[in-house]
Amino acid sequence: MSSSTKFLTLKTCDDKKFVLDEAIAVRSQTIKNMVEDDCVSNVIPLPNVDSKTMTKVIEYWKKHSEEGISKDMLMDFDKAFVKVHHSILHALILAANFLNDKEMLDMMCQEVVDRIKGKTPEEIRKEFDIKNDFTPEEEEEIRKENAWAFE
Amino acid sequence: MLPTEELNRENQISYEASDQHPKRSRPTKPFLPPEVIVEIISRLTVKFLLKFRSVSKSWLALISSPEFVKSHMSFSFNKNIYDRVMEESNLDYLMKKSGISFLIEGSVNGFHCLVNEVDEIFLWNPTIRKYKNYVSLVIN
Repeated sequence: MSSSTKFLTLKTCDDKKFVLDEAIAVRSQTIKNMVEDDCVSNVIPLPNVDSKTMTKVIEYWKKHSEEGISKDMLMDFDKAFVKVHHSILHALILAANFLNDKEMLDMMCQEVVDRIKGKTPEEIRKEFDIKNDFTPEEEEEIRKENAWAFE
Repeated sequence: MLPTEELNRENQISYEASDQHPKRSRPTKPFLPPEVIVEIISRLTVKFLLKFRSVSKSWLALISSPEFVKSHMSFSFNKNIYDRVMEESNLDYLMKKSGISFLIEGSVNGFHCLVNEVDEIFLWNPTIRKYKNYVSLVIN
């Protein structure tokens, strides 16, 4: 990588522009591929990410790119970072998935898991907006099959 | 990305809620695509997966699919997620059912091969607490 700092301009779906150090932006594998394939002209459009979410993503990227930051400090940062309303959490997951930032996606998915694992199937449906398409009999049948898992 | 893309193609989870009214779902809660749902639930332990089979037909199909089982297993191995199945259960529930004792002959990928006093062979998966008689396994 060259020593001179290169900047990229990212444009979110709500037409907000973010100018970011390329070295930081390439935490996104999607952006990295574009840079490597020379697909980057002036502005990189991010049609799946809004500015509010992108602000959070960049906050995360910058913190994780800080020089000399200790592991403990990063852990504290991460812990606080994921403590957001689940609509924001879902938006961040979508962004991390689109940007293909494995590390961030991993962390956010783990947070969802921590939030859902104690829940009932009914609460899961609510969380993910899923319609229950089982008849009560079918549901009871599945429940019975692994009754111990519901203990 | 995890090796789940292939899995998704074969296992399209239809999202009833969004199929029916894509625009009407609450804007505050972004819709998570199937590959992300897979990413999330791959991190669950088996007990929760078994419980969440009753969430919907698509979740049942996904969790029961051999592709998901495979990817979940490799994920658990990589991340060292342990399903602590032997903690309290031991072999008790199996023994009580048959009334005779077993020897563990061998294990692979969490499966155990058991042989009882009358030389019947069983394949046992303690994580989901299920076993199969080898004879019936061959016939089926």
